[in-house]
Amino acid sequence: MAGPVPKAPLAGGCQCGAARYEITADPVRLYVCHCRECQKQSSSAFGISLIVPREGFRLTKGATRSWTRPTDSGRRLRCVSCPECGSRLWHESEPAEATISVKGGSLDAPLDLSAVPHLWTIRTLAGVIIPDNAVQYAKEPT
Amino acid sequence: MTPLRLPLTGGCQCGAVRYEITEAAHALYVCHCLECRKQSASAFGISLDVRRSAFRVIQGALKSWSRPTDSGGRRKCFFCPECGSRVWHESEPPGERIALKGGSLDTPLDLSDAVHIWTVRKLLGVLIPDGAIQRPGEPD
Repeated sequence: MAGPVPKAPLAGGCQCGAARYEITADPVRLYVCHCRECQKQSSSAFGISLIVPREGFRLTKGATRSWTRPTDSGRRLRCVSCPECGSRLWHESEPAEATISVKGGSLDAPLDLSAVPHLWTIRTLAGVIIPDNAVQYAKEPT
Repeated sequence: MTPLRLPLTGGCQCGAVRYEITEAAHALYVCHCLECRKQSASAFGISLDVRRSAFRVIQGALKSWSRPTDSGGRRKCFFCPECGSRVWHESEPPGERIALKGGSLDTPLDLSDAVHIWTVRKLLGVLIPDGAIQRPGEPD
């Protein structure tokens, strides 16, 4: 089952508050990713991605810096963070695509992860429990 | 908690920063507070409580940012200036221990026996294992 995806308008930012953004178009997807890159980028157990139309996303305050890495699929992913506190804000494909992946914990309003899809579950840390009804993909969905 | 083979190594996502830990951790916490949600940009933070004297940066330079804490102290947060990955937190002035951010370790952690704190802030859909020690706020 597909989980609840929050509706626009949404706002969020980094931990220190230097970088702030707003989302004015409805997000299209919300998922949790357990891959090693997401464990490293979050320094936690998994990443959270809210997929948002690029034209509905706007940085309203502050500056960002980015670092780019190759992906398994042979593309490049630009990872955007706050230069002051390092908090990850969003990921986007390089070259740019129609949507970006806003990192879920940066949103001001707490997300409901009860029924979101879980990706890369072969990398799920021991002791992390996925809800029974969640759609799960061993790796990426095809 | 499950013993991990020493020395433990880890680093940031881009690989610019690398560290090692030469002594077993004192405790493992999963923290659901709002600050940990923001610093991880995820659902919760993971802290491996290690002695400062057993922790060493072996590659790269870090940047830090500090914030006031609820208890009136200050928390210094270290991250990689290249990719932004959070690596550890420590008290300001520094104490004997640091809180290494769990996802930065090379070996995936087992969170089965982690202590869950600030569970009053836990996101819906994040499940805590049966039998895990839980604290609604800070641990005593």
